[in-house]
Amino acid sequence: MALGSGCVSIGLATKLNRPIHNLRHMMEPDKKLLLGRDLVVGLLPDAIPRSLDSTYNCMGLVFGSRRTAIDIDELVPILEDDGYREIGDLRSLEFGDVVAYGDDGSLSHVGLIWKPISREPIADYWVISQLGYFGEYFHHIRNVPVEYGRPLKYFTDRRVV
Amino acid sequence: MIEDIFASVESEEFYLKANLASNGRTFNKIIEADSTYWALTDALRDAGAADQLARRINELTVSESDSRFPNPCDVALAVYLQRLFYLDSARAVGLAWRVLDLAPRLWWAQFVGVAIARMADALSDLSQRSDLMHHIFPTTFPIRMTTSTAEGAFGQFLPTALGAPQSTLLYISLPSNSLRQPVSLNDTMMLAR
Repeated sequence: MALGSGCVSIGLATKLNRPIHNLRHMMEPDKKLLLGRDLVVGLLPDAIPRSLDSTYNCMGLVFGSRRTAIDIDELVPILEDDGYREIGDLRSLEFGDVVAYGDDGSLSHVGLIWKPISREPIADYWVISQLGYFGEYFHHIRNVPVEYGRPLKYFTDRRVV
Repeated sequence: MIEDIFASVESEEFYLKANLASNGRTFNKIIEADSTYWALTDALRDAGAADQLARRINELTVSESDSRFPNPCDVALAVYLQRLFYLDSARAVGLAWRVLDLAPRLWWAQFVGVAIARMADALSDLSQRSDLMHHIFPTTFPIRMTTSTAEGAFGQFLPTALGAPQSTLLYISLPSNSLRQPVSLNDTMMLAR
């Protein structure tokens, strides 16, 4: 028996071949996933469910191809190793960029920029992210559960030649 | 009645809310924002409540559930172990090992249990244990001690809200990776005993 019995770790590494520690969450029963969806949609009325799957988390969606859960503390090493750079201007985000949420100096959540809604006067985007272990949603960039904090930092791996 | 509060902590609603978190810090924020958590904290101030809590942990540890899915008592066990740790840390350590040993398919409770067990282990005799812990977590030891607040991997799973002994215990900072690594429980148990 191992810790997280029922949960497995997969081989995953950064571009510099540093292992990314991860653990796949078990799939919740459909009934709970549906109740989780109701909870999310109740909290975030404009959120649009994309997929109800509890085997990965927000980090796993962005950096693990939806295969596993990765702790948020792995974010900075992954970004460094994978050549991401921070974007200071919220108005210049594009599809595929990463938004990191948090407060008090700690990060709690990540999502992918899906589509610009507006860039002026207030920048807004559709973001796709896995909310906890109850599914993946499209939501406005500022519309996340209050405990996640607010959009704090933005990163891109776009390489311009 | 504490039984009513237990029922709330063990409810599907509380389970769902807590699982909006994807890491320990957010998990604690979510549970601490829920009145159920504070009702439990208040109720546990009564004499004998720690006994009731320990009994409930024992009951949930061996309760049966569908083996295809996560343990439905996971969140409750995590919260109960946290609260017991602040009421009676010695008993919490024993129960943490029991939960890790017997309760299947855990997520949050596993991280809380490991945090409690590791903290107790390291605090009990750091110099004697460090070589053993190095054997278990070769990439993350040696550890560094800090007397600050509950930061880092352990801190993530031990709430810093009212009742947490922020300045009276030594906390140990480890890269959170170590909590995420699958570890052979049997090895861990043997080394810790």
